[in-house]
Amino acid sequence: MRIGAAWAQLRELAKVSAAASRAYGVPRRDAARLARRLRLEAGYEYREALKEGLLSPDRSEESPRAMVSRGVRRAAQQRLNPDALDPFTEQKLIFYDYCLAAGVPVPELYGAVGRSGGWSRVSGRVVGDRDAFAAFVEADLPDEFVVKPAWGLLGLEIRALAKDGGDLRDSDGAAIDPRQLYDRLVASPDFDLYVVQERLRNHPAVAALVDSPTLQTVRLNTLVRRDGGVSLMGCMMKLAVGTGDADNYRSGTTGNGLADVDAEAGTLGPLMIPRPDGAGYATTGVVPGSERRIEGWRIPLFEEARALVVAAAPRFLPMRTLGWDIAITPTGPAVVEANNYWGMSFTPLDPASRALLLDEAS
Amino acid sequence: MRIAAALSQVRELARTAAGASERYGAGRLQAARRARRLRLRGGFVYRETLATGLLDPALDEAEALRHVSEHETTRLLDRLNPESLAALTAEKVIFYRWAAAHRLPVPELYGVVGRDGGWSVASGRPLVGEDDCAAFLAAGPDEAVVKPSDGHHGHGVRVLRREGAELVDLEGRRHSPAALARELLADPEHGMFVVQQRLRNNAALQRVFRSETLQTVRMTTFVTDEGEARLLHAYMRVALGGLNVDNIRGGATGNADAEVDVSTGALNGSFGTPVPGIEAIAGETLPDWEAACELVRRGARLMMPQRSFGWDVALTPHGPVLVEANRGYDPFPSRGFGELVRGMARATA
Repeated sequence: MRIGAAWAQLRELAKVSAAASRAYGVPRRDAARLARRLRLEAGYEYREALKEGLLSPDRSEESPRAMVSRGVRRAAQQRLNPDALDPFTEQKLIFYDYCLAAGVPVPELYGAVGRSGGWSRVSGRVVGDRDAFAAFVEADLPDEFVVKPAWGLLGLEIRALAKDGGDLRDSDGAAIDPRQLYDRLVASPDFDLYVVQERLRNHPAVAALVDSPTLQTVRLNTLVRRDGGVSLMGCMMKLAVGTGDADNYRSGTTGNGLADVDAEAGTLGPLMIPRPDGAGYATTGVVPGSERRIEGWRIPLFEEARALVVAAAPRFLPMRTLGWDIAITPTGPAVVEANNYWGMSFTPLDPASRALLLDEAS
Repeated sequence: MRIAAALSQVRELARTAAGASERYGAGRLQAARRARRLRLRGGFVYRETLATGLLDPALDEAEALRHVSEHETTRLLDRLNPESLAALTAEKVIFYRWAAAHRLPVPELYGVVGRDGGWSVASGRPLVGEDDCAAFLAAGPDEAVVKPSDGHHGHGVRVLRREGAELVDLEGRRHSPAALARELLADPEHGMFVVQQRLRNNAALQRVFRSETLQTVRMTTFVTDEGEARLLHAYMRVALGGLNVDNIRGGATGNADAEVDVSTGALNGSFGTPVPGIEAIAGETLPDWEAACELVRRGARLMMPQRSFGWDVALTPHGPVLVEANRGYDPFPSRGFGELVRGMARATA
């Protein structure tokens, strides 16, 4: 078993160093040595180092060491967040219901549906078959709404839907009968329950920047310190310049990008978009295909968004560190999700945040 | 493996039959045959047949089969209550925070202690390590309840009161705060414990039961297709065993349970786990009954899309308080409970 694992690692190292060599024109051996050092000294897996762009000769070796590898970050998060409380944030029906009751702004919850049960939060009635679902859509739902897995991840199976006569239309324009949608939801092998909730819209300033109907979110990571105060770390904005109903980054497969956020000023750094060869990312100061400037752009209502997560974080104690996805809507910031194993690619935590995360988890 | 399982079943049957023979004075073979029939026809496990009184020769066997087994009840509840929502009530840290946010009356939460995480509500600070936890326990109120966040059937519950520098539980065990913190953090089964307000019994209950242990009513609710929350059944758990808890655990605790007429709140004289002298409380009416009924109906609606719960409600001097909500509750040993479980099954088939 050990020999098998060692061989697998060697093969992975060979593949990664070959990819880095092709991407950056550096000798394979140099790339392999750097990947090995990053693994031993900073905990980066070979593939992770390639994706994060850490094997680029343009980056100093100090840069990845100032960042936190997925493995190191995850170990710290495991010490800070009790595993048993995962459902508090990851089971979205529990999460949204709790937030609504606690006064934390989240999308309005209309109900839930799936093979393990269903109900309308509007009427209180059970939604247990396709006719009941059609009636729920007709009577209880507004013209637009979102259906997403109650225990989903990475934005998978999120549907933004609009009523169109007796049908529903998704964001690609495809029509589906509510009864057919119900059949698909209850037949899902992956998800037993979906939440049905309000469709949030972008603040006009955000919409003007990105020119996309996809909801854009800001990721604000919080840590409740031992003294009870709340610190922000590694703030990013996920910019959906690709397609799809979510702004999730999904390791670069969605065509979406990320931009650093200055946690004090609320301004964006350059947009980072994954390179097609999977070796790091390219940066641009403007929205691709336009002249709209991203770098230096200030997030509207940023102070309010920051105040929102600082107030919400202690409501989930004894979970101590969460990554909040905040939508900036015309009526104010709203929490779209909270993630207990938060992490974003290309996210160099500043030295103080990195030290704080590791110290608080020690 | 199959042979080992079969042998284990045979041993269990022998123990059950011996227990029935001792309790009822009937023959072992006769008890064993009946236990076997109840297992085959009703899904009862052997020890369940003994613990719930189904091997009593005075009880007609056809009548016994109208009771419902844990197996049949669990199978229904797994269908009515989505598994992915189990943590809402099974993990008490989540349940108490959720219930308080909904302004449902629950015991006040003082904090959480454990190797997986901790936090003091009063200070708002995380509790990290033994020293933090010991200081929190030392500075806490004079009385508190400590229970596993993921516990069940009352296992691991400690009802504590302060005596000088020590904390003493209802069963007489004494701990220093540091020793208790060490014990909780080293617990091999539970990673977190909630530390919460100790509730007291309403004076009317105290007059009847004369026990320091908190007495709770188990109230079973069901939400219909139309969204109406109904209270289907209730029984009082009568804590006579001198323990920290009122749980029955198949009769192992010395506590008893007494069925409640849900329309009036009176103890109707039907006892699931009989204890000598228990008959004297028949006819007593529980205080604040209407308020308790309204509380669990409200809780049931908030739990949707989970449709059936067993609520443990304390009747305190300040009104009814939810102590726990159970999505996988045990059946009450009566024909009526069997009928209501089968009624829920039919309504949701």
